[in-house]
Amino acid sequence: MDLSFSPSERAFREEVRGFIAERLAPDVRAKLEALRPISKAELVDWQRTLNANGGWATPSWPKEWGGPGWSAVERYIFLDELHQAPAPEPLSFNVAMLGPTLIAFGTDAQKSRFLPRIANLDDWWCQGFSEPEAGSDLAAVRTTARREGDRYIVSGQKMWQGMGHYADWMFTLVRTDPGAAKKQAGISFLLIDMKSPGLSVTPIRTIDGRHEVNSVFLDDVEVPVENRLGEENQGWTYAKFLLSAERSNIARIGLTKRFVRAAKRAAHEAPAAARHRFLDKLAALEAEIQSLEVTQLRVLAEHGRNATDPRASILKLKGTELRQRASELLTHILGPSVYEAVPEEVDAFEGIDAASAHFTLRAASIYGGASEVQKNIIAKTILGL
Amino acid sequence: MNFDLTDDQAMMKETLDRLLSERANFETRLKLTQSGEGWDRKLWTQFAELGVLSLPFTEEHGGLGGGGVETMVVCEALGRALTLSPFTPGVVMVAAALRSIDALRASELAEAIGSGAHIIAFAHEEAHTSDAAFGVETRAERTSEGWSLTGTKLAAPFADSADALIVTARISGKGAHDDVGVFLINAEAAGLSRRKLMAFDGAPGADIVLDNVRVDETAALHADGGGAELLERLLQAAIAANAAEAVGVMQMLIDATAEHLHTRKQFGVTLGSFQALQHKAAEMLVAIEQARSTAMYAAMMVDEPDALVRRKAFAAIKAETGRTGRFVGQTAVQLHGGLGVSEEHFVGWGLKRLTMLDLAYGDAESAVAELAALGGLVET
Repeated sequence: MDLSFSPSERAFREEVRGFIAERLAPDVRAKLEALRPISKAELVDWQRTLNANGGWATPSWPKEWGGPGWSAVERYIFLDELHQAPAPEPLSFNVAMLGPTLIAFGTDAQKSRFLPRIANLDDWWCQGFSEPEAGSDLAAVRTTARREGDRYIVSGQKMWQGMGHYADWMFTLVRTDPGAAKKQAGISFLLIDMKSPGLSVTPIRTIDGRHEVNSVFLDDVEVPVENRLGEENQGWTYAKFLLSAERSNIARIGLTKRFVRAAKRAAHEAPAAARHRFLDKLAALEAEIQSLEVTQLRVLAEHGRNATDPRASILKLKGTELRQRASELLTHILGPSVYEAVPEEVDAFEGIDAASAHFTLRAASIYGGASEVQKNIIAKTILGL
Repeated sequence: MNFDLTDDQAMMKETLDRLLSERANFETRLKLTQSGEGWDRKLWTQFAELGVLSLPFTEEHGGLGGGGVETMVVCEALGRALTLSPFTPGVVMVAAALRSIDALRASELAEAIGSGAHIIAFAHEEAHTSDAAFGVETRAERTSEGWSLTGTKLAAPFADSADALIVTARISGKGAHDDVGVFLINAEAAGLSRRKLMAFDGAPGADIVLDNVRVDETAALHADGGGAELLERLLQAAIAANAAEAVGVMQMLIDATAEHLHTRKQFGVTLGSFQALQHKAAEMLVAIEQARSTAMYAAMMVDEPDALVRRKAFAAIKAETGRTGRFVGQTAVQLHGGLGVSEEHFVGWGLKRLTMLDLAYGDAESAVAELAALGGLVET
């Protein structure tokens, strides 16, 4: 048993750290330090910088499709360094979700057409899965796609499209067989151009005061059949693959440590009595983070033998809980001044936008499989209940 | 990075699990707590025959040269079977103590312990040691031929059965808070008296009064500069062992709880069909995986050379073991309903053992405070 990284893995970490230090724009890093959102242009620029460096924008892709061909441990180290730097992650809708799914199930024509543009963020993708009546119960999607010759006619409403207002394309679950015996059976997976006539995007403001998510309305939108991924009515299979892809760094401990670091710095400025109180709470959190980091490494070490380890649910559940606690503690330590709403457009904000980040993170235990769903999975798959 | 057991480690685990499932079942344990010494000497002899009692001693001292992982494997097995034995104080901690003494004497001690014939207990806890290891008030005074020890030690596990005791004492005449010595003394020494007791979890032990107990120079296990570093090493060895034992107890509890939820029926259906109970069981499992990671981390960190890094790690390990143990123990009792609070059912004994493991050598809360005082784990 050995907890340490190999010399070549440690050298890899240094290489990643050096690259970020050299190539990431200082004002982007400063925004992330302040827990502020970065602009579309800033992310595009950074993802292209990563992509040009041997395909670093697509950590989980094979070399054949421009990826760096990293091991699970290298992918973990890369993302951990991005989180801790802090530096932006490449757009996960593109590179962690759709890319690997296209590689697995797409036609050669689809792969050649889309993959290079996905990697380079020439096309910005959003996820068109959830609907007003389909959240955790995703298979309940009601958006319909009616076949007419070599086109589908798509109508319905999608919801919670993260950065959908930036998107050029949307990967979408639609119902192609309303009469299927099981609701999972009648679903297809379509790639929809956001500029299609009949498609409109409406912002949803969230409790963090920000505009990140949207509703997407589809009113008789025409989608060429060639933009269907895989077989008709087999979309549920591809969606499950997409949602389980790249869960090896799902605890996102580097992000949580960023909150802890900010909170500790702030706590040291507090009066003695409050300082001790905060530092005790932080220490309890740090002890839990340390254990989770080992759990994360255990899942990672198992990755070669079992890529769909149900313990990934533990990482999601616990990782989210600890990050939420860290961000909440940060707001306590910074005090009432954090609750002044900072407009999203303000670029030159000084200080830490801790309240927004705290409210943003309330969603982390809801999306990507709510905490209650993770508990269902743990009870069923690990405990057999 | 590798979390697999070696073939030897896996074999040790299998052998112990089999032996304990045959020889150390719950009925046996209940009988032991009601009579005699409170633990099973015959089983101890079998441990000796298997080499378990020589495991953590260095090959130089005639031991098997096992490290943190071997200790973890043994202690987890003991925990899973809820076995009471002096393995942690009498073997693991002694092995940590022998690092600093003369090789010949260390070899003799390792051999005596390895044979199962010689029992050593650790007498450290006092009224003011639970919040700080260095709160020791027992005094060690210089005499012409060595030392004289005076003070009271509380609830030292297995001290009633011990042939010798490792005793901590404040070195008189020195002012610093950590000027604490570590002494190995004969349990029958003149001036030493023991009052037998049984702890809540059924573990036998004793309160010890030391009234001017005179020992020679060789009783001091610590080097001239004082025993702070040695005491820290001993406690860290115990915390690592306890972390592993706690994982064993927790695993036993989640297995029992899952089984209970599968079989017990109320309102015409199995308990496991209720989502509220499924979620509680899932939370237990999350805590156990965290505890398992903690025990593995402890097994690695016992040999960490940097004292500050090691100190911080063990504060975190202590905190996590206590937090997870209490949660899992309490939830297992809750999900077992009335059975959980019956003294005739093993689940309640699991909770009691986990609670005692948390309380040993400072609890989770004091460990958190210590970690905070040391600056925590995340660099700013």
